[in-house]
Amino acid sequence: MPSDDATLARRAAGGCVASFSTLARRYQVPVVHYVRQLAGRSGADAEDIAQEAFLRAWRHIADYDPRFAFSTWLFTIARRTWLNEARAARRRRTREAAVACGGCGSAGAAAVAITTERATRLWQVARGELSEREFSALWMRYVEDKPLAEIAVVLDKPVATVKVILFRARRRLEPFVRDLAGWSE
Amino acid sequence: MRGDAMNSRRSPRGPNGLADRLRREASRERPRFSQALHERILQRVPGDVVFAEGAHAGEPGPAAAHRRAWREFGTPAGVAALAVVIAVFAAWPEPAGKRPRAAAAVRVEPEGADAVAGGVSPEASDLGIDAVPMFDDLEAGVREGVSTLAATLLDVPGWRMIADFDAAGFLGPDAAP
Repeated sequence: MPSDDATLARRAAGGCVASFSTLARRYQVPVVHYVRQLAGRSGADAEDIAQEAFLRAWRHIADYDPRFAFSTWLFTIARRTWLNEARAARRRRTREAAVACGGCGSAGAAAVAITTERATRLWQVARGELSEREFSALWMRYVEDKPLAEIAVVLDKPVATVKVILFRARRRLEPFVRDLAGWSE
Repeated sequence: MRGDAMNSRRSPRGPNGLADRLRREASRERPRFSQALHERILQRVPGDVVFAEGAHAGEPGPAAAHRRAWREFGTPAGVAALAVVIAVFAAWPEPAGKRPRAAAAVRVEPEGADAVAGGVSPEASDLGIDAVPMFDDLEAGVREGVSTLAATLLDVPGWRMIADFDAAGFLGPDAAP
């Protein structure tokens, strides 16, 4: 008989690897899916970040608050893991760019523009046009069907702020819906 | 304007259409479950956390329980201990402030011979000497020293007699009283 997430998390906090394995199996696909779309990277990179997120969840599972959904807590960890990874990667790129050529700071912006121009999918556009926070808010709302209170936990923002973030994200995406290539459904 | 907004909201390309589109696109790109990733995670899990070692499946590990108990009760206990230490330091000046009163009371003792012989006279008890606690050996030494000094002063009549005798010896019989 499958146990609910809170029970499994409590057992895992007591050192039960089997319970954590069940949770990891249950949420592997949503976490990898979110990280892959957020990062816009290859599957292998997204899996590495997801793996790190699960390991962090295991280390800190005693801190899980069962008032919120386990998936919400897991998405929060995954998002922060990706943010850390993105910051580290940005620092590396900045150092490498500074070494290679001092006046090429606009290369990154150009790359984003090209990505947006070639985008054929709405999430691809969202990744180029929206901030990470707006992207995550949209994802949690429309893909994971999270209520506003749970999105607020993931973003570490008040519910009112989440409403504003979602409103802005939708406003910024709407123009692209009309112009998007391959929009035929 | 309001009508346009309503139409936009109802149309497939309005906010609801946007939401549907986002959902559909996401579901199309949903990855499959990766057994390899799952095994990679579990391979690192048992050795990743110390308290997982030796824990039986389904049973809470003692180390984790201790950790949780420490978090729940250790912090309040630490705060309480700190509060006790602060309270002790805050209360310390009060007995220290009584010390001058004790010294003043001790100086009263030499007024009677009984006080020197018995250590504490009934009058001294009325003054509160008995109620003053002995804080340390230094204070006990001070009290003893004061008592000795008082006994010496009470012997002064004897010294006066010797002095008178010497004076009689030096001055001769005419000078004797």
